[in-house]
Amino acid sequence: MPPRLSRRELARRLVGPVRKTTSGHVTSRPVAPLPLSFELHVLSRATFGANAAAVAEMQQMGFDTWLEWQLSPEGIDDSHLENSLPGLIAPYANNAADVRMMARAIHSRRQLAWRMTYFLNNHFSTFRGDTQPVSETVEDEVFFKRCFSSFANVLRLSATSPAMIDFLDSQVNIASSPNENYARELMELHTIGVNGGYTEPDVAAAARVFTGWSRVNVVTGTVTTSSYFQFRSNRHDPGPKSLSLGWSTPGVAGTNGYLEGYSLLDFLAAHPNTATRFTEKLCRFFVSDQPPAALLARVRQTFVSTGGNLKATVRAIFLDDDFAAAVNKKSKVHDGFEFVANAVRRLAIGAPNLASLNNHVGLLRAQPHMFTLPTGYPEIGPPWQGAGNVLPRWKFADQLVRNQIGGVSVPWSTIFPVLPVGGAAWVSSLLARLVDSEVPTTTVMALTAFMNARLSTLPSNPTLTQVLPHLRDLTSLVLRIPEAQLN
Amino acid sequence: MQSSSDDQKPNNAGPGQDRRTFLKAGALATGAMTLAGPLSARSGAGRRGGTKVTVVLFQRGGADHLNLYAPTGDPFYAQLRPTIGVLPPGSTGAVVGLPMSTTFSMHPAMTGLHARFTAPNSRLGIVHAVGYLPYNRSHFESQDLYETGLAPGSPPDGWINRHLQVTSTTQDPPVRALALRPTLPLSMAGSYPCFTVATMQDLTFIGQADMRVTLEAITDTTPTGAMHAQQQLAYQSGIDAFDLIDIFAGINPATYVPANGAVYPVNAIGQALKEVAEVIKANLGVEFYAVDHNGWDHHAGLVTAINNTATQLSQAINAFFTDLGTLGVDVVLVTMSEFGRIPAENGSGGTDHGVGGAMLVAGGAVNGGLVHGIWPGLSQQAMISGRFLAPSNDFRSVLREILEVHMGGTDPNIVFPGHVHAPIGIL
Repeated sequence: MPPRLSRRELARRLVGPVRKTTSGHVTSRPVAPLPLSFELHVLSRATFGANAAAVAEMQQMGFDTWLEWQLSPEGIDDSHLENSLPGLIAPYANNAADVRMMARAIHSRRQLAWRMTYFLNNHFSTFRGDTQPVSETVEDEVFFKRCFSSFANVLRLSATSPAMIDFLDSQVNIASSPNENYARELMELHTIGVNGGYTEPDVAAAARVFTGWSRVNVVTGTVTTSSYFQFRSNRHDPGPKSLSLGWSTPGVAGTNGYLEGYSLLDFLAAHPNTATRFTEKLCRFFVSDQPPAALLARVRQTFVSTGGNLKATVRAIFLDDDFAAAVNKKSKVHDGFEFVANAVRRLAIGAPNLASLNNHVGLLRAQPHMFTLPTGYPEIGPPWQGAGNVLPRWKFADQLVRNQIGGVSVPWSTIFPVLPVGGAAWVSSLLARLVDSEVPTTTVMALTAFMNARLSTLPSNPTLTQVLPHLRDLTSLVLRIPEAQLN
Repeated sequence: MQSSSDDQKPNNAGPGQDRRTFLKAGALATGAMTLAGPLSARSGAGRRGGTKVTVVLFQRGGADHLNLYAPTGDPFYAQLRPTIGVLPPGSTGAVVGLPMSTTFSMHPAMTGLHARFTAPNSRLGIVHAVGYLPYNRSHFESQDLYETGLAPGSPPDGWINRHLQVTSTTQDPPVRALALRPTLPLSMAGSYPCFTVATMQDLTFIGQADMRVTLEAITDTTPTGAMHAQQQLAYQSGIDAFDLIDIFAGINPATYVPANGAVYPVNAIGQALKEVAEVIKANLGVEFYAVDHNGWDHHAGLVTAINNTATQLSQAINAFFTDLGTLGVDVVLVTMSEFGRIPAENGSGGTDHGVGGAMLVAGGAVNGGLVHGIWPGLSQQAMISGRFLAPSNDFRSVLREILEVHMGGTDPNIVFPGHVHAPIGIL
């Protein structure tokens, strides 16, 4: 088990002063920050942002209990949020699934389950421009409910999801003229991977397996109010099929013809190359862009030995000794959605206008159901870096702290029930809140000099109203330092 | 990807001069040249081939070139596409092609491009049946192969980046390659510094002067040597952001007025090309631009979908060259897409991932009004596996001609290693 800090130590680090240099070690460079506490590292990966509530829960329970609590989301009371959702967004609006995902990311207490759902939604990426809004909404709910079941289960849910059926054209995959869109991406992206061993004839054969897979849209007025899977046996090719991967069927005619597809999905879910590829993606999401080889091997072994059980697999990641290795801490880069959710959570913004936030996630090119190709958004950092990504994030950060994002306001008096005194204290407080204090000492000094200069224009012991313009500027800066991109 | 520290970059700055100082000096110098007038500055003495520009427009998703530049004269075309095909010119029907040659017709939504194709002294040509072998029909794998130019680098780097490396001099302007998208395309990835911006409208620092001083001090002066790769990249991103803000300080898309009555379509590709035109006119030495046109993966409902994307493409490119006017002689725009699509339509009124595609090349001294390259035809014997258009013309030959003829030279052994050149004659 990884070394743990005592609650007292955790509390000290959470609320303590700016970290000190390593005693006695003289160097001309800024001293590397102290290692991030294990618990904050866990929260950075298992939640959409370590806000006060999440930190308090972790402190009260301790890591082991907290992890098990999060791995059983059905036991976590989230009724306040769930009951409020219908009032938050018109249920069949185009952006409903995006907005609901943001609602869960910001407000849900079932953070780890929604992190997993967020991952699954992107692994089985569907573009809402090609699907019914209600299908995306329902798909997220289904993934959430089964996010800690087995991979084979989730794969079946994806294959029969009307969103996937619309996106990858299963609904027009018919015996007389197969459409191979789903069959190809099923193997290339969802399971064994592009180098997983399949051939072009395998794609053609798999496409025939899924002929007749379709969905029915229930339309009320002009709005599709629900959509459900339907197998149309008259469109199915019941002939024998075989894949060079080692799967074959004599063909199933009639209404049970969909069982061919279930059989192939189960075969692919249990394929060794799926175990390798899926667990590697999962570890890239939860651990680092280059997960340690030993961790990868252990997590993969857990996946295989449990029949692809996702709860056991996620648990294995967080319990792995290498998860907490210093090299992994703050080694991830927020994607655009995560950047927004993290900032809103850490600034304790209570009831933001979620549609408005989602529009801004769109400016960061990161709405959860808006990636047009089936590959999904990158799970690694570099595509989210560079000036092209940073500049719109800087703009968002500045607008956020000035309440320029419609229906979103920062509760400064909640964040600061007692006003810090002096620039160093303001800086220390904001760095702890927003970036877990993980910054070079030179950054602390630069920000402190900035704030001290601003404070020098005010009377001593200024009121919050007097300090607020400067506090907004300081917060805007903290959200723009390089470490604000990291998770 | 981008190098993680300045000292790994090509030595843009002289000894004792940091990159930021150099960049600021460069921006001022090029700004002064702009005042002298675009054309005179562009041909100014002492500048290397930086007066020439290449714009790479990537049609993401696998464009159906057999409906954009339809081989309506190929005897097998109509039977392969009985419901979605473009009809020969003079036919009666919904989608009747605009004549290009005895074999090819342009999609009727692309009236602007067709007018340029058929104009006297046309500077718009098509290379058909383009691709590479062995082929790959995965979106992301094939996009990567197009952008690396099939070079086996590890980590992979892009053909544009390698060209910039082999043509680098001590007189390089601060930005030679700019992508108008949030993320650096693989074609520009590598050891030579290339830059991204989602839109030129982002290039402004929001906040008071002391905020900028503070943030700039943090991004520019923090030692990053001991940091992990992502943290280093986060610092480099901040440095790049400030550099771009400075270099392109005179660019303002909000007030930009296109010339010659050009009207860009109000969509992503129209906006991107409009911004490229504004930067080209500012004459800051940028040689390569990358823009994306998304939405070409038409597995179903192709007739309606491609009408939209073809309209966008035609209006945007047409407006771009109208806007550039006489500056267009210095600018070549080339399109590419990760693959063409299967000639035979599927059962969904669409087409699945194929092999051979096509490239549009316009501007500069392009030999326009022609469909270039070897046309292998759509007979079953001519097609790969009886179902894919053969990629008779390697895309690297097209790019090599652009680099050698338009951009003034390259080192093909490094930019396109292993490629056997077969001249196309597009330039």
